[in-house]
Amino acid sequence: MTIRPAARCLDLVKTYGAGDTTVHALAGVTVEFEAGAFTAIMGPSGSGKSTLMNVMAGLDGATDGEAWIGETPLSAMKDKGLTALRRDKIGFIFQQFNLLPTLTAKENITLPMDIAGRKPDPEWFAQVVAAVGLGDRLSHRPDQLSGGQQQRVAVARALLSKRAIVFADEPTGNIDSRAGAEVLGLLRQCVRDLEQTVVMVTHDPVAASYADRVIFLADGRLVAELSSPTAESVLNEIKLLEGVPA
Amino acid sequence: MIHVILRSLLARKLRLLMSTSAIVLGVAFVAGSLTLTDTLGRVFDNLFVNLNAQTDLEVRGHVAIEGATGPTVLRTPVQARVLATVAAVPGVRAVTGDVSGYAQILRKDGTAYKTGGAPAGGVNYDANAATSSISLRKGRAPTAAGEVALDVTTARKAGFQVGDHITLLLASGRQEPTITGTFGLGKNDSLGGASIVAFDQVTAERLLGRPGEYDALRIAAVDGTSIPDLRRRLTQVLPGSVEIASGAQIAAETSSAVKTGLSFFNTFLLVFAGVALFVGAFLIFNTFTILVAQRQRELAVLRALGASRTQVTSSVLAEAVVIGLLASGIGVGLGLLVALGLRALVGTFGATLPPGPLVVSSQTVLLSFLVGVGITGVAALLPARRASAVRPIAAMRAAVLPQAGLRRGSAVGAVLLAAGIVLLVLGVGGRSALLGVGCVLTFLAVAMLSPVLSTPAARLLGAPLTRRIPGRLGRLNAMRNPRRTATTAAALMIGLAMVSAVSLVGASAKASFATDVPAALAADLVIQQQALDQGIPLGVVRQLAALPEVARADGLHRGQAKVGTKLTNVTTLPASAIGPALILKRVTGDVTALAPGRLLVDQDEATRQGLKVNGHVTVQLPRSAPRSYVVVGTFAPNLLASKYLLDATAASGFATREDSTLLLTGRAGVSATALRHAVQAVTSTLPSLDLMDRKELTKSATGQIDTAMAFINVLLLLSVAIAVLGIVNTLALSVIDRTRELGLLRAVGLSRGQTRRMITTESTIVAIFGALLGIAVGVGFGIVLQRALHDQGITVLAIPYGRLAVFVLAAGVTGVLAALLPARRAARLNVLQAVSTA
Repeated sequence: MTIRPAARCLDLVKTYGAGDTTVHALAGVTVEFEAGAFTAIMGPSGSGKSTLMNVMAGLDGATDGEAWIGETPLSAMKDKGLTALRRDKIGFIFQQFNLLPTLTAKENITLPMDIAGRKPDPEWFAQVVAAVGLGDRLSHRPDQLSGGQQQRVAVARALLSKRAIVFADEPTGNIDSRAGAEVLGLLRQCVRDLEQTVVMVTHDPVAASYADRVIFLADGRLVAELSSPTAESVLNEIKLLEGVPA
Repeated sequence: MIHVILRSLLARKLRLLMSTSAIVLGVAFVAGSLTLTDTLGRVFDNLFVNLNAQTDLEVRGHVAIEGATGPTVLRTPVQARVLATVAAVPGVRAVTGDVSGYAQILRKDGTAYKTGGAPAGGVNYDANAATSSISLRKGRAPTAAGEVALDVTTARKAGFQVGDHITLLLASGRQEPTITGTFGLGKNDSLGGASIVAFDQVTAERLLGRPGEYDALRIAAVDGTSIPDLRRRLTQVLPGSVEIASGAQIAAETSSAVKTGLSFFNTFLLVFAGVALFVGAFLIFNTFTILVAQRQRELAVLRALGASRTQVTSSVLAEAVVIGLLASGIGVGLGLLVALGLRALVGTFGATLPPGPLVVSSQTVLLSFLVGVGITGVAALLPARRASAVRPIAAMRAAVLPQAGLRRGSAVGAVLLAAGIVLLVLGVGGRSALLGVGCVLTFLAVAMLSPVLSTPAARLLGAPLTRRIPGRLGRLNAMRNPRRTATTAAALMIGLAMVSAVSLVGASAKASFATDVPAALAADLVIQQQALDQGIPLGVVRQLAALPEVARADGLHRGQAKVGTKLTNVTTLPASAIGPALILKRVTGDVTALAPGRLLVDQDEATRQGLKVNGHVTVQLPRSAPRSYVVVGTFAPNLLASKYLLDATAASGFATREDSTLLLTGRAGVSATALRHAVQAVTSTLPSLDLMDRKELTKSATGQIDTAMAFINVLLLLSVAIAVLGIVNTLALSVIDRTRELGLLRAVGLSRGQTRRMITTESTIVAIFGALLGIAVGVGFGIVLQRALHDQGITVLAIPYGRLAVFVLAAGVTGVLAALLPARRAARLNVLQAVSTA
């Protein structure tokens, strides 16, 4: 555990609608994401786990409270700043449609660096490609890759430009369990070997068990936390939370 | 089901607006030009009925050249003695012998009063209330030599009052009578803008007519007389050289002749409407193809729920029909405005149109709707059929819509292209219908072949733009859907092909003038009449020939004649002018051997008509009997000559006696300035004449070509504008299609500016691809047209490279502009929503 968090938030509130129809997606969340650690965010549907990730990643604005990436507060930033932040500091792995269909795997991996107008370091590129195991697939287009391979390309994309933090939204939600295990193992390995910070939203206790820490959200609030989780401990915690009256 | 269709229509308002705009504009043009034609038709019907209201019967000569048509068809004159015969027939209350002739009015400042294409004539003032259509408005009728009356509109426009002196140029010379009165024609103030001067009967016969001849005799019957009976009685006593017509018949004939003259304008407008609709069809096709692709899941659900293929097809078609109805409705409304605008436009060309309400016939409305709905339906047919090919299983997974292979379309395209080219080549012989069909086939063929071309073309055109990521992505987007790119570009291709072809023909015509005028003209100066339908009084050529500075003055007279069985223009000129004044390039025979009874013919025409040197051909001029001529020589196409050249002695056979063109050659040693001064001293008394040297003649001719080209290009701009809307539409649809991708790109850090540049790159590539296709096709058409117009004097092929390059640049700029809105939309996309769109 390091001292400085890669990202954190304080009293984060996010509401949708107004008046009677107001929905509190986040009702005051304070949490820190340690650098070089793998954190999983869990919670039932509507608990606010995706909203938390979207706000932390600068994809959505908060209603109140503050979020930081490193030491940079997000609330004051306009589209330009947020775009630059996403381009330079944040990596994304979505559930599906992670890749541009017109680009090859290699081009998809280097896309953020191309957007920024930077050249990738060839040694690092080779290391990343070797790590995700895509060496022979680089010239393929997304429609020629399996779901698991597509997700591994997305991981490689996030790794290549050495992001401060990588957000993964249900990265294994759309692929079979074997391919899912590969992707999760890869993320785990990135954190352990490359000291990459990863934040993953998931509803799957097995996926969460790959993380260093699991935080649990319910009704927009942080309700529990688990270190060095296993699938069983996560499942138990969920059962426990379901038993607790809201 | 109707409910579902309307829902889906309303949900796509903007897209509909874009794709319907093409149909709206096309239909507006159709409705506008038809309404204008009906309105003008009604106006002229009323005018001529009114004008002939006083005439019960008319005695007139036969049409001089059988088969001749046009508003001013020439008839043989009626001999003066027939007047007495008619007057003696029981039941005839009054009969008047009409004469008419050229009479140009000079304004008080000495310049010619211009009628803008309407006739400038003199007539007899028919004082007999029984037969006269003239109604006195102010002053009194002219009764003696030195007195005239003027039509009230001309008097007002030219600034003349009763009591003023007026200068007139007649075929017989200059006159300066006093204006005794102004008149209207029936209830009208003007006859379509014509300037009419009326002399008393005796003076009119002396100054305007030929002695002993009338144009026609107008008869008023005694009240209560049966007109058919009177007609029978007249027929019994009249010679075979004349015929009898009723007032109503004359009104109908004149009106329909004028309408035939105007129908050219109508056809012209309808051609542009056709081009706009053709382009519009591409747009509709593309829009529906994309809409169907976007809705495939929805359609698959319908299929899975048990909708038959026919039901799916007809649901898409029904949507097209609703769009077609809507667009046609708006188009017809807009068409009325177009008609009003066009009427004003006709007015600015000088013709005074009598006022009257717009005539909107049910036929026009029906036809407009039929065209609008029909084209929309046909364009949507293929996408609708493709929609029904969606398998129900597609509802369950993200399947790709079955696409017909590019190969089949290309094969059909290649066959069509071959057919189109064959038709175009055959059409060069002068069959314009073949050229038209050939053009349409070629357009369709190129449109079908273009998907094969679009990917390599986009790769090539985008190559210089790939240094940065937005350009690279834009280029890939332009390459990813060959059909979409190709159809969008094809719409632009059509407009640009037309514009390029027109430019090429225009440039060729100008180049031809520039090389052919000096090659054809040996004379130093050319004098031409500014007004189209008027000539140069005969005295002028004699006056000029008498000048000491002038070596020779030759009068050329151009007019209609029947050669063999064909109506055509012939030119008469003094045989001695060939060589010193007019240079003819000999092909066969002897081009200097012109003499009475001999003629020269343009080589292209000779080939077409099968005429050879020493062969015979019958020529009939309006005022002379058919006569056999010997072909003595053939010449290369010449800008100043008609297809047939006759000796000057034949000129007396023409309908008018004035010369069309004068060629002046200066005496050796006289400077160009001195010659011009001397000639100007004579022509200044005839202010409507243009005096030009070789350079000025070329310039005036090329100036006219520029004006015509500008006019055509403005009309073609309409179809280009529609095509640009098509690009906007396709891009907007593509942005919707690629919402997820855009979201992803924005999520990984693509800035708004970069997003805009990406869309702009795609747009520019599509636009330039369309422009290049269009220019390639247009240059092809242009060359075909130039060949077809070879015998009209466009002998030089000139490709306007500079102008074509400007078109490509303009297309690039257009591409940037077309991308503005879609790019804005793409850049403003909410990243989160885009990413989470399933």
